[in-house]
Amino acid sequence: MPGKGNVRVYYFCQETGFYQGESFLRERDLAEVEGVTSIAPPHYGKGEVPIFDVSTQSWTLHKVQQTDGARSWLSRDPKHIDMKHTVSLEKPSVSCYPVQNSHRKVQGIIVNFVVAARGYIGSLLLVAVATLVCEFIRPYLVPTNMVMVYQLVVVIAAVKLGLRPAIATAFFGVLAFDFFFVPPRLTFSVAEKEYLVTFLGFFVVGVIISSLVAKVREQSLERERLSKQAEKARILQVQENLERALLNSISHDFRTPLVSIKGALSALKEKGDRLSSQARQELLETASDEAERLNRFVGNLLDMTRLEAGAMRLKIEPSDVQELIGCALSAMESRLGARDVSVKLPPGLTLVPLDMVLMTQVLVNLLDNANKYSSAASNIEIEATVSGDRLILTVADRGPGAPESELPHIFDKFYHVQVPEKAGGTGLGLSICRGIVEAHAGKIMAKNRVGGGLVIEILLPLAARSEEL
Amino acid sequence: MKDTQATTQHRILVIDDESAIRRFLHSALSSEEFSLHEAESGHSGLSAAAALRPDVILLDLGLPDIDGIEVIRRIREWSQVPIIILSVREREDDKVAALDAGADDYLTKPFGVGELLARIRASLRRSIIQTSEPVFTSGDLMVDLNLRRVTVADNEIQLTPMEYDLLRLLITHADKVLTHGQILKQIWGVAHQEQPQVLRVTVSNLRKKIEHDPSRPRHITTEPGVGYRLKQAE
Repeated sequence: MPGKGNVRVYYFCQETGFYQGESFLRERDLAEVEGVTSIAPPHYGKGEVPIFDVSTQSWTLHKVQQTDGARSWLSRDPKHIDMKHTVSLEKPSVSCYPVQNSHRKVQGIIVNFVVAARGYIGSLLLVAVATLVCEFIRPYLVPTNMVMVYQLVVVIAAVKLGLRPAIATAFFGVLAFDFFFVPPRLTFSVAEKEYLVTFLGFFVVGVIISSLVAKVREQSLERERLSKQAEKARILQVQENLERALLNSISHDFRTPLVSIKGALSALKEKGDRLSSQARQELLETASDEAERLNRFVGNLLDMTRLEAGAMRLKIEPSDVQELIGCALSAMESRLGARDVSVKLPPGLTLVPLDMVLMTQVLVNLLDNANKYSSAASNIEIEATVSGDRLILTVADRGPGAPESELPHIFDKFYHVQVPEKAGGTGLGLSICRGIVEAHAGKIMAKNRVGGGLVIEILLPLAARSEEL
Repeated sequence: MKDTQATTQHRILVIDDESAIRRFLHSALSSEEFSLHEAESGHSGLSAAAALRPDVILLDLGLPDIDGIEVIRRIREWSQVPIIILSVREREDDKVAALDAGADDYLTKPFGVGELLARIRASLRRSIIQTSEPVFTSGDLMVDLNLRRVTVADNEIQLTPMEYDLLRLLITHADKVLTHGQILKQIWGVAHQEQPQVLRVTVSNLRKKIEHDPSRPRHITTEPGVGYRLKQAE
């Protein structure tokens, strides 16, 4: 990188001009860095990124050497991206002043000037304040002691404004002190030579204080930066773990049914005429059931990504809870088979504001879980009650339940309770339920039942929310 | 006329851009009962519909050239041929829009052949039998439309006028899905179009009277996010 260590990188976006790369990056900019989309302005090419170098006041085009993980940043919060980890740049390939962006360059210079000027204006103000204070205490103190007031503002400048403005403060302080307080007053001339020693002492001490403060400030900033980096690295690690879990889950849960489908179909294709009609029927049923399972996985994954992207728009309408339960039972009909499912509803239950399609999905997922984790001979109970301003909807089974310590986690993504082989799933079903229920401003929780089994409880507000989601 | 050769065969036109789906439908549906014709875009589908005069159209909503809903509108300008939509689960609003534009029914992809055949036959039945029978029976439900008499397992049921109108509307469109908007408009008039709760309450009350278990309705089924369907048991 040009001007090592002292480079400000400006990425610009087409509508808003530019902004500092260190502060944040947005999706569009990342795409520009990656150079894979057409939104890159025409004057620079694929894999190149224009950078405005403050030290040389020039635009340069840099080849992006490494965009590792570029694709995955897009899905992450851009605020968590650390420039140093995202792009490393080769030597500038072209040095240029793109015509289309010359105004942005000027803007860049002005911004820099304003930032720098702000520090010096600050030091002038501090000196003015010190001078005013000294004016008030002039009757009580000899001029030499007033130096301490100026020294104080130098320290303030060093802490608040940085090294250069602090030195400037010391310098302006000497001038103001000489002009206003050292006799003869209101001139820069000095009557007694010993004041020159005072000036020198004040200035030197001011510079030393400034540089010491600056060093401490730098160190604490560095520490802060390092701890931020560590935090970011930790977040990235967590996200990578999640992504890996997702990939594992997808490849496992999608491949398993595909293996059965492909196996069954190839058996039928290659030696279908030599198989007994019973065997043929079994193969066909396997393929068909597994295709259905695959379809549910796809549905779950789609719901999950839509929930995460916030793309799931609720269509909340006053709905009949009995109808809701009926829809879920009808969707589950083939999977439940002859199992006993009891439904208990309070008489005269009012309509409840909810999204029929999504809440049906919630109930289907809960019923599917209850069905998978409990023996086919046991009963599943669905119950709705009203408590205060909330509807309580429960789905209870007589399965093994879950260890108390794990109950709060069963709605986490990719969470699996240790279960028998047949109960395989994406570990997404319950987290989708939570996502949908929370989007309804509701709550979902799991409890173990007295006498064995798990009960999932959903709380939904009975009153429609005033704000539309 | 071209169709003298096989008057008993129903012509089905499939408009779908996925060749794998057309192939599957071709092998699943081609039989003595049906002859299958294919179009892979909205434009070719529209001209095939005009040239072929199919008995049923299976239409995919996601076509490459024109929007499927636009295809429905253009066909409805000149023909009442039954149109069955093939659509994925996530697009409830598209299904409602298609039904409101004049489609007769929809099937959610992926679907089984059994389901598809049931829908096609129901559509054909509706288009052939224009005058509905005065007495409707399905399972234990019997409705005499002349006498306005409703019985369940031979027990006479008292319905409010609103409930009866709703039931009659569903019966005249038996096995067809009706959107909330369509039902509200027909029974309560345009003024109530924005009040689906009155429909929900009426359906709930009607189910309590005619369904054996209102939590597992067999006659009036809900199509979540779309509407209601009265199922006629064979």
